[in-house]
This record gives sequence, structure tokens and C-alpha cells, in this order.
Amino acid sequence: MNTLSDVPVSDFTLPELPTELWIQIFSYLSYGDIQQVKLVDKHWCQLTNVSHIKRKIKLIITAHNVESICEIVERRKQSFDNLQYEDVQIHRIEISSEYLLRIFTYLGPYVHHLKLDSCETLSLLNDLLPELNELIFAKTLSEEIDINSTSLDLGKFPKLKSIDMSCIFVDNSIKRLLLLNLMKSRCEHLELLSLEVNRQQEELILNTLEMYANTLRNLVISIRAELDIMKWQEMFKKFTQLEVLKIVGSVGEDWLGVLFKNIPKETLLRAVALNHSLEFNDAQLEFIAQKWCHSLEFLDLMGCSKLTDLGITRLSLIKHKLRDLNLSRCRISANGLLQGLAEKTNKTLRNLNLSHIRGLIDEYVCTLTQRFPNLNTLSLENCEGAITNDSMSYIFCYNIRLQEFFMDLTKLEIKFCLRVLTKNFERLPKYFPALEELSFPGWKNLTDDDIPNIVKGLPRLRKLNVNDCTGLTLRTLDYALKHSSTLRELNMGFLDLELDEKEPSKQNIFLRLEISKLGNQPFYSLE
Amino acid sequence: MCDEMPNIKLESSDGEIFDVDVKIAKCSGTIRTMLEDCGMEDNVNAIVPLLNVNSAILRKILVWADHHKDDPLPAEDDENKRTYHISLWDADFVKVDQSTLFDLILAANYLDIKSLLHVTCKTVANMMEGKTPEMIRKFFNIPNDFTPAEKEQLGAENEWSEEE
Repeated sequence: MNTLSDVPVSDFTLPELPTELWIQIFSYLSYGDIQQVKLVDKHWCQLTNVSHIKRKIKLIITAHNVESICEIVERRKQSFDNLQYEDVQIHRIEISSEYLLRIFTYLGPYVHHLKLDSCETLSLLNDLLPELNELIFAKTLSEEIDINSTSLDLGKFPKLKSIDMSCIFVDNSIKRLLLLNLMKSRCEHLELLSLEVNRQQEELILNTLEMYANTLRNLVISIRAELDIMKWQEMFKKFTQLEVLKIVGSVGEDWLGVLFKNIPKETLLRAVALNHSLEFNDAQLEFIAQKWCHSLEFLDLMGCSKLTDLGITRLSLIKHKLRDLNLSRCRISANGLLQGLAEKTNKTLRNLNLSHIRGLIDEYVCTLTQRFPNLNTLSLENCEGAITNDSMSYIFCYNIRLQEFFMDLTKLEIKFCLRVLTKNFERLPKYFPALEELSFPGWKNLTDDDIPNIVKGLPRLRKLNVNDCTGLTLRTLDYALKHSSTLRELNMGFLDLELDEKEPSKQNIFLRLEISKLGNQPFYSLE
Repeated sequence: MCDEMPNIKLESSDGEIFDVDVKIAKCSGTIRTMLEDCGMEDNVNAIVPLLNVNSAILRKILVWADHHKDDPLPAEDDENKRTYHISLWDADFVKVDQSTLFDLILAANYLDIKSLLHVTCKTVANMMEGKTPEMIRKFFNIPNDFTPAEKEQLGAENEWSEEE
């Protein structure tokens, strides 16, 4: 499908749009495209210099590139092009790195998000990041950390909104330090807290949460121990601002029930995620659907294996509100889902994840797609029997109405699709013309000759994942690079390419086309 | 309830009067404010003059508003702006010649219809995607007003060469 004719109109003169409208138009463009627009004429060159359209890029500082980044940053000083270095990740760099200090002397005021991966550069940053918003601890290096040398002071980050220290690879002593820090000086703007709860720190965590309960909007708790219900129940009553609640791991029996009972009804929960909560049951699902029927939009029930169709049918209470539903690895059937959410057509649901659900036969897939016409994403990963040649043929070929229903789908993910014949994929562009993300890793039947059809036929394709499609060769890569103007991400991790030595991840080569256009910049950007 | 909404009259810049369901007209933030602030809501015979929109464009915009009248209000989420997708109906709607497209942008801006402004602006942005400056100039008929010296200087600042 051609979005618009590419034929230029010669007698057309560009109207005079107000500045803010041009800026709005440019704001949809990628960094590479903005660099081109800049060279069109003087007017546009001027317009592209406003801060609105600065592209955010993620800066990953590693031991390899720290020196060159330092050089670039110091050379350019304040004017950083159309790039905005809000998001920084520091990976495996020693505390004493002088380069790091120099980089942050310039970049510090721009950094909003910081992720520390295998590094302990905590105290170094205390005075350099006045705008820091989000702090993530991904890993700490050694097991023995000298607390004194890592004297981070959270009080020095006046704008801190979000702290994630739930990662299991972050040393307990660091977590303790952070919690004590949070207790010592109150972070006025803290909205998100992601924590791991274990026995040794339960008391400290309770005290910390107590202190922030009335301001937190977003709470993620990873639970690694049986918790004392009595202590938690009082605290949950104080969560008046909570919107997003995510609980990872198994909790003691009844703990979830107590939790949902005690969070005030007036607290408008928007999202609840209970990953692999083995205790969560039908009655509890009904309870939360009822209690927050006016606010709940997002439910992630992945791996809640106690749930049955009975509980799922009770989702009817929130069917007009629910936009996102993840039932991956649940033991439910398509019938339950249809009864709960889509006895008639459900136009609200946008994202549905049904991966790893057993017994979801192809027939149901057709019904589901009909009943949820506004789905943006549908994940049927590893649903044995769901994606067969029959259901694909049915969807692609026999059911004319389904075309319409499928039209707005922007993301299609098909895994373990061995039984799908190539000829069905020829019809992809016809039936899913709006696709922006397409993923079918491990599909051995695919050959280079199928690629032109996909690349040309899907004019909005941004992301193509053909990892482990071992029938493909470098020809595919060449073709995609040459012929697609929209493709930004191509995953062909299996190809043995000689990539830039600075490539951050060796195991899974993720070639970002955005980067290859940026050329000789010694660091990586993703939009 | 919505079915019993009264109609109001909109007048285009060239004097044509459109009889429109209030609910549809209220897709426009500008009209919404006018009705609410000026107390025109109860006045069935009120005529709202739209000085910046001609009848051809207004007709098109009413088609848009009718199609989208039941849409939920879009969430203000600028962060994900670039990844929003345009639905097929919308994509078809903006398959028009360039001057109509720019007229739609101006009208959507004047009438404060955010979703339409988003789709039309993104459509124009899509036309620039993947093009070199020369291709963009040709496409939009824009003269190149850079002197060779300026061009050279800009080129030096840009690592991404124009030839690509």
C-alpha cells in the first residue's frame, strides 16, 4: 500500500505554516532525517535548532568508549547537535575513572535517567546530576563493597522520581545503603520505587515504604521470602496515590488478598501486574475487578496458574476499561476469555498476550481476532495449535471480514511457526498493511526471495525480527538496507557478521539501522 | 442520550452553512470552548462562524469528526509520539494533494483537533522520511537558498552526507 503518491507536484508552493506547526511536523522525524531537513533551506535549518526536536539518545558508556565520548563531549561543549543525552547507562567502569568525571561535568545537567550496570560510581555523581529523575541499579560488580567508598547521597538529587533497586544482582549492602539513604533525607518527588524484599531487610523496607506510602504512584516489589501479613496490612492502607502495582514472585498464602483488601478503594489503581503469582485465585481477581472497575486498564497475570476460566469471565466487570491484558502461561481457555471480555465485539482491548496457553486451537484464534477488532498487538508465542497453516490460511485467505479486523494490527509476533507455508507470507502485505513490527524468529523455510515482498509490501515496517531464520543470508540485509526507508531495527543475530568491535552485546547482535546511518559516532543510539 | 443532541450551525469562510450534530462539532476544541464559554450551547439556532476554514476543508473535517466522534480522548503522551500509528482509515483520509493536506493542518490547528493535527503532521513527516535534502526540495518545491559557502559549513557540521 502506498501511503501517498511520491510524485512531486511542480506547481505547488509550500504554504506558510506557523513555526510551531513546522516544529510539530519535524518532531516526528528521526535524528537522521532531521539532519537532512536541516540542509533543505535556511528557514528549516533555523527551525530544526529548537530544543523540542532534539532527539533523545541513549548513551552507553563502557570502558571501551569512555575516552572517545569524553573527547567528543569536551570538543562540542554545550552544543550537542540535535541530540539530547538524557538517558545514560554506565557499564563496567571503575570508580576512579577520570574520564567519567569529565564527561559528567558537561553532560551532568542534561542527564535525566541513569542506569548503573556493574559499576559502583555512586559517590562520584553526587554533585553532578541536578536533573536526575530516574536511577536504576542493574548489577554491582564485586560481592565485597566498601560502603564508605560508595557514599551516594540521594538527597543531592532534588528531582529524583524513580529508583529501581530490585535487581537480584545488586548486592544487599548497596540496597541497604540506599534504603537508609531514603530514610535519612526524604526525596520529595519520589513516585516510583522498585524493591526486592527479603527477610533481612523486611523491617527496613517497611519503614521506608511507610515514609513514602502517601506519595508513591508506582510500586514494584519482588518478593523472595514469606512475609509477615500483619506488618504489611496496615501499611497498605496508607497507599493513597498508588496507580501502578506490580508484584513479582510468590507470596505467602493470603498475602495478596490482604493487600488488595487494604489498599483503599479511593486509590485509583490503573495497572496491576502479578507475575507468576502462584496464589492469586479467581476470587481475588473478581475482587480487584470489582473494587477498581472504574480505573483498572492494565492487567498482567502472566503465570498466575491458579486462575481458571471462572475468574477470567469476571473480567466482564472491567471490559469497558481494560486496554492491556497479559494471560501468558495461564491455564485458561479461549471460551473463558470470550465470555469475560468479548461476548460481543470488544473495541477497548488494544494489547493481548496469550502466549504459552495450551489448547488455544486455530478456530478460536479466528474468533478472537474478530471479537477484538482494535488490537494493536497480539502475541501467540508458543501456542501450540493456534498458528497452524489452517488458521493462517483462514485469516489470510478465506475470511474476507477478517481482513478488516486485522487491518489495524501493528505488531505481529509469530514464533514456532514451522507449520506455516511460505505462500501465506506472500499475503502478509495484503492483509496486514499497517504492520510496523514483524517477528517470526526461527522460521527455517524463509529464504532471501521472500524478503522483497515483506520489505516492499509493508511500507511502515520499523522492526523486523528474523533471528535464527537460517535460510536467510547477507542478501537479506543488503536488500533491507537498500530498499526500506522505514526499517530501524533488524534482528538477524545468527548471521556471522564482522561487526564493529564496540558492539555492546556480542551474543545477540542487534543491528540497529538507525545507528548505521549515524555512521562514525563512537557510541550507540536508539530512539 | 447522545442521539438526542441538538444540532448547531457552522459557517465556513466562504459563507456556506453546515448543520452539524453538537457532538460531532465538539471534536473541535475551539468550537467546544465557544459553545461552553459563550453559552451558545442552549441556543439551537446559533451560527458559529469559522473564519479560517473554507467549505471544502470544513466538509472534509466533518467527515473526520463523524468517524472519530466516539473515540476516547487521547492520552497526553508526547514521549511515544513517534511510534503512534496511523489507522488505515486515517491514512486513507489524508491521501489528498499537498495543498489540501496543508490546509487540513492549518484547519486542525485553528479548530484545535489534536488527533487530526497529529495524523496530518505525521503524514507530512512521513513524506520527508528517508529523503535527501535535494529530494525534499523537489518534493515540496522549495528553492535552495544556501550559498555554496554556507552549504560547505553545514556539511562539515553534519556527519551524515547529503549524497546518501
